[in-house]
Amino acid sequence: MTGLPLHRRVLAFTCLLAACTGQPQPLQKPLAPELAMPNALRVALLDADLPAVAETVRLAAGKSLAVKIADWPLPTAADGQFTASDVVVPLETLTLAWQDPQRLRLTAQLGKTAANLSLVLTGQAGCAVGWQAEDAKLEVDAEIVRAPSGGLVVQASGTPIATWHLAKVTDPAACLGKLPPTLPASLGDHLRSQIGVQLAEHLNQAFLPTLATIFAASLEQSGRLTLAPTAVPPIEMRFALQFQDDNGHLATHSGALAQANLAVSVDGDRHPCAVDVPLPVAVASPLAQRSPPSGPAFLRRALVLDQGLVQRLAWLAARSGALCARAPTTLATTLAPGWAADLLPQVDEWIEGPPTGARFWPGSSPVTRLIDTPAGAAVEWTMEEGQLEIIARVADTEMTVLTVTGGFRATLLPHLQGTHALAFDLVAVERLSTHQSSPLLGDLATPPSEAALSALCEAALQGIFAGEAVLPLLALSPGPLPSGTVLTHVDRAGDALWLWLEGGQKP
Amino acid sequence: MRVRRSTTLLRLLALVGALWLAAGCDKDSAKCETGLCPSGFACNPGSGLCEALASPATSTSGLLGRLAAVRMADGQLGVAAFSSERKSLLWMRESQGDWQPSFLAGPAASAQEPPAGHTSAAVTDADGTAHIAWRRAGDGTLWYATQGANGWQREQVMAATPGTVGAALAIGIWQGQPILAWRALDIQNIRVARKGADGWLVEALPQPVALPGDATAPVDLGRSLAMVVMPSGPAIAAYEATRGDLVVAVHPDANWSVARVAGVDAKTGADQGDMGMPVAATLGPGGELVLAYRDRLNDRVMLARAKSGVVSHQVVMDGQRLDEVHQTTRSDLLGSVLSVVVLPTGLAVVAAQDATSMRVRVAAEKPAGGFTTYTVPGTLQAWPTLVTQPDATAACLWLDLANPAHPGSGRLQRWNVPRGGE
Repeated sequence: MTGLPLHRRVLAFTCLLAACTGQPQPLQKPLAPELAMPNALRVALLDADLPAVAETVRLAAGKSLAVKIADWPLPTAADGQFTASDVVVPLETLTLAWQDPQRLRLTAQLGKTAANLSLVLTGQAGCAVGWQAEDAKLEVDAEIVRAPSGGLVVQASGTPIATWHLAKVTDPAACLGKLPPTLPASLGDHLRSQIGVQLAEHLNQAFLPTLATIFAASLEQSGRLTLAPTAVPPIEMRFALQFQDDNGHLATHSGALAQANLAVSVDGDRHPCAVDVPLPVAVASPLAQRSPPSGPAFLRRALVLDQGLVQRLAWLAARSGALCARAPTTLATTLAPGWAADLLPQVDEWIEGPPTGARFWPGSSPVTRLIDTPAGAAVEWTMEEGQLEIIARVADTEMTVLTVTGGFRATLLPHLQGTHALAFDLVAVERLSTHQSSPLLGDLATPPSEAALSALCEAALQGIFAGEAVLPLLALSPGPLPSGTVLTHVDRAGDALWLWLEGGQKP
Repeated sequence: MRVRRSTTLLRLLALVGALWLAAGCDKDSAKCETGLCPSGFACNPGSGLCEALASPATSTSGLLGRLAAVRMADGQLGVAAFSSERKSLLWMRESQGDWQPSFLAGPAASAQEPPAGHTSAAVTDADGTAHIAWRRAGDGTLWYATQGANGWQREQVMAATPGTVGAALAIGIWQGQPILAWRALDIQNIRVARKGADGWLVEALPQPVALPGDATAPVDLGRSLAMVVMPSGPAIAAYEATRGDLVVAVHPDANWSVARVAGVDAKTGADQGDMGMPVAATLGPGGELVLAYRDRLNDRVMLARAKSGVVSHQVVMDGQRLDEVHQTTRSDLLGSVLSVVVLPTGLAVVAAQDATSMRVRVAAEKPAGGFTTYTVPGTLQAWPTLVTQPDATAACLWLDLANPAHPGSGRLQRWNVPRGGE
């Protein structure tokens, strides 16, 4: 196994929800309850996005629905019945609105609907009768609940409500004259019931899976992931994500959004190179109200990562040895030729080529916070104490040529990698009271060039952070999200990172 | 030293002598190309003249890079090293507890010659005569010299295409003739040249035996290499960079046989790490191949013994170090330079560069098994190499870099390894 080529890209955020290195293996035992951070991850659906979701349902259901009308025997005589051809019901509009914190209502406004019927009496020719309705709507409700089996399920709630206006039976051939006067009303009831039940069933077939795409039950999972299989030893993390119940309901509406909250537990074995620091206490902040990042979008929702979860993942990564475990690491090739001239002029002549590697030895545990930068939301990662070692070839021999000891602060800018994964570019490194020395020369008599040192540290940390396990956060593909889901935006609101998702096929 | 024209009689005589020496040795001369200058002189292909060799040097300091050490016929040591101060190949011969240095190649040996000797290798033949090969980095040429009765005689190895000679080089003696192995940059493989009656016969090593799951990626062989000559023929140990494996090539008959011996599971082809950069080789008392190699991902130095077709591996030492302040374990960059010898008792001694603390560590195998590890006294040490001593012990040579006046270059030092790993 050899060193991997370095792409400047990144600190790849990977694999909490999905395994870029393979599917999670089952946990050998459940994670301790005290490891769980409530509300660490949320699925948020903004009210502003409900019209687009409703349109998604309408497209899935079809713009008009064919309803079969069953034959209706005459209630007062066994010698006849009404028969009808299929009725086509136009779905003019669909709207979505939360009825209460747990129930989402889909309202379908139906277009003009007409049924052609035939009254057939024994021994007589059929006689044409009509029925039509011009103003009708149908309401179906859904809720996201804990299923008896334990999983999350989106289910219809209550009885569909159909409201009919201007519905009437027409009798152009005077077929109904010999029948009881209440029969037309009964016939109307029969038709409304037939149409309503079938329409509700049809709408739910589009509505419930659409909601299930948004509030994906598959987010709830647990397991073991090998984040860095080539590191020595391989870096493994254990995790569990569980939807939180609110009186049996897993998604609730408040303000201008609905959210389903997940408690996230993470754990991993401590690598001998990592400082033994306990799991950071983290309490998720309330979800900030906000507007969608752009105009209407197809099935848009957000995965919201609380800052505390980012902090715990950074802690876990450092604890697991992601910063220091020996793994193929190369430096970014952004350093100019002669990079050592301003750093180690005494031995520059004998240093061949760019640095061949770097190592980082943490003397503390990283602290992260979300910040805004001119380029957008970012993660600020601070290691108060650590040592960075720069390795280069001297007279054809790999040697540690420079050590930088002190604090380091990195700014990690999220960006989308393709349409599925989130990656972070290390865009800046700040040194906090560092001290430089060279094993070849001892303490440096003259301080190295600040610019050259900064460039070197940035390149070195980019190389180290390019390891997939340095801040394992999220990879959205192939992952547990419904296939076809794409990641479109990343931004920050309050103490949370919002990952905007769109699309997805029905599970 | 180049002979020049002078108006004095003495110098005129010298000029006459020099012209005689240079007869037939201009740049169009076949003699020059085949290196047929008198003993103690060598043909400078730039000038086409024979030039005296082994210009006296005054110091064994100002050195940089790997050392090539051999034991001479008289039991004394000879060491080839690169003088960073003079950018020349320095030959140091042990004499009564001191070193007698002289320049063999480069501008300090001949004013017209470009820097030479960054990489060198040395071996002695059955008579104790030293043979040295070196690379001239500037033009990527390969050179060879042997020590005759009247001094060094050197030649360019024309079989090695200029510009293609990489920085890994080894030399051995096979059937009384020198055999060279070097990394050939044009084919990313190892070329081997054996001196014969008609000059150097050159060939490239074949590909290693394919394993299950072998990728089709091209083999990149020889960024590090070592060679010894076993009773059955030469053996080359080398690093294969595409997969990060240690490869061994043997020549039991008319053909080379090349196989991966570490870094991969020979049965399944599964990756087992990054092994063999660098590698060092020696022979055991029974003529068996003994290798020291680096396990890069684990910062370990390993020892491999090949006997009866079976290769056994053991850990010699690792780079783990306790950080008492943080109560953590760090791993030093251990083994970026390696050297191995086997004592007449069959016990191995391995020297390794700790390239994080710039110290030399020596591990001596104990009769009961395992190793005793020493850190060589001093500071700022680099490029260790081991030699066996007449008293059946080992000595470690290295460069002491702790000289503020000459940062980045070192002075040759020596430390005797305690007997028996005690």
